[in-house]
Amino acid sequence: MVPASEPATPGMSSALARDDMLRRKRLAGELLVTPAFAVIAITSIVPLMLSFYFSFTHYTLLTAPEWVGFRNYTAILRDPVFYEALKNTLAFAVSQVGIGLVVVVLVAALFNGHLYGGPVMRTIVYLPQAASYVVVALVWNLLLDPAVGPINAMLNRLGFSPVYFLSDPFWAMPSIVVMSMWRNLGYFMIIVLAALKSVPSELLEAAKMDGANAVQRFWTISLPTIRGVVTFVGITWFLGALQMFTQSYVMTNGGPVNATRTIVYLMYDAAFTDLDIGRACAMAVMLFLLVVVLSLVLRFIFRSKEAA
Amino acid sequence: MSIDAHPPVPVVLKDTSERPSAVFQAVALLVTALYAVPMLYVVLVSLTPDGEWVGAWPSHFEFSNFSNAFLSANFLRFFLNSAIVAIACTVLQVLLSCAAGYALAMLPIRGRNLMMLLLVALLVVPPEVSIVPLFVMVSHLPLVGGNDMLGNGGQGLLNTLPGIMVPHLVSALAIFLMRQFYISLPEELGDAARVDGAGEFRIFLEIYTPLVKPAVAVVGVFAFQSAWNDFIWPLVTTSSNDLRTLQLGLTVFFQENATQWNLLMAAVLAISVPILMMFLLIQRYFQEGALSGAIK
Repeated sequence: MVPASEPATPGMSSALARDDMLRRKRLAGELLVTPAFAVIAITSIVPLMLSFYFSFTHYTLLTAPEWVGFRNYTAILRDPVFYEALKNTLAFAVSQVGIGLVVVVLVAALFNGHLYGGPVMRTIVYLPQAASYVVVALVWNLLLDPAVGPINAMLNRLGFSPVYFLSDPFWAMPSIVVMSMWRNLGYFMIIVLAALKSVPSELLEAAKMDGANAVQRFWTISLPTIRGVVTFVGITWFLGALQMFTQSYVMTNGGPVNATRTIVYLMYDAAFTDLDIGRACAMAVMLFLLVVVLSLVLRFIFRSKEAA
Repeated sequence: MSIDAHPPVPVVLKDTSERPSAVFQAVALLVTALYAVPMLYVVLVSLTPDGEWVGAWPSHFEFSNFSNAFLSANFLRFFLNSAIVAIACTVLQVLLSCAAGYALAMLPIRGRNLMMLLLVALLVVPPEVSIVPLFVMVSHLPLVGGNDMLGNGGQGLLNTLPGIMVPHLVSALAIFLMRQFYISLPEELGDAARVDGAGEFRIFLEIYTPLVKPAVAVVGVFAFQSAWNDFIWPLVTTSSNDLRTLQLGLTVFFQENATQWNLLMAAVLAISVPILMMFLLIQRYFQEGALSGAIK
């Protein structure tokens, strides 16, 4: 696009005109791009840098930040609740995505076939992901309620005693995992479904001619083709799950006895219950490092696997 | 080779496996039931009159639960707050991401590679990381909300609607998506218009942007959803009951009236209907365009 490098056939004036047009395009482009990046700088980049800075200070909002080095980090690493929260966060993400990914692929494959009422059923499964976590959490509070919930009513009819899903330390996290999976299934199903539609139909037809049944065709043709998309879905879902907060806040308040407290919940507690901005930011930085490192590691693992 | 060389495929060969298998149909119905039954249960509970056992078939459908839910807990105010915040964020995000996405795709700006790199890097950063420092920034914004020139003394943008909007004004993903759509359009369109003497902004607004309407719809709905459904940011930046958003108001209502399931579910339904409708309307675009373009 550099005018000088082009053959100077049309003469001086049109070269000048082209130069002028390039300048106008550039000016317009920079005017268009500036507002968005100015807002990104203020609402994303500056806070990110401040997060790192505050994490090395003692800061309570009332007095100016005071440099303390790694003290916030060592305090967190000495706190047993942090390890509990780390374990809860990882358990939530691993179990939700591990189970969810298999379910998503199977359900997408199911809805990819010919079914009576397929589009309607797909839409019903797809709806909850549009609703907020608060709404879905409250609905599940009702479903899991020991007194009026239908799940306990069913267990009761089968002769079981009521299960206090959300106040039992054993059941609280699995309940939140199931609720989150229920909500997110539709979103990831649509992505996998789009990928399944792109599987070359000639290949599937050819396999059918050779006598492969639906399961064999899925396993040997469709699944290898959509592997990249499934990996993408898994990583996106996993990294999002590491940031879980709302479900715990609404359904269990992080309890019972920290059974559903996550890293983001600890960050929230530090900043807005203890008013310790420094420690909250140290927690945020650790979450940031966890997410970035895991995203690089996961991408590396799955890329090298794909190459193999 | 003539077309008649092969006879038309006889009807007998028509593949019978195209008809749904009974097993798959049954499993699909079961999966759907896992979604439809809870939703119908919510509807049933939302119509149950006060004092009747929740979960039993109600003696009559109590439609006034909807108005009562809205009257009993300031929900109308919460609804207005959420609507103002979500609509303003949607408009801003669409404008900013169209402008930036177009410039990144079509115009020779300096530092483009750096900006693209920044966008991709930001996709990995968890939004929660910025919440605490953003809270500090918003509360210390100079000269608003009683703050002095150094940002001390007052509460800045805390407890204001613009304050609630702050994290949703722009989205790296939206800019990235819009850029992907603009870049798939032919450059000749703009060049032809330039020859005809059209200005750069007219080319952007009147030639290219009408061609990416589906992408605008998708980005707009995502923006609306992120602002409408947000929870943690309004939770930490608002303390006044008058400034709560729906999600927050709903949570507080639940904490204060945990046993009023009928009103709670009526509110849950009323809150979700706008966003669900929106998703139904763009579902077609979402499935055909946005995702196939985004997931590569």
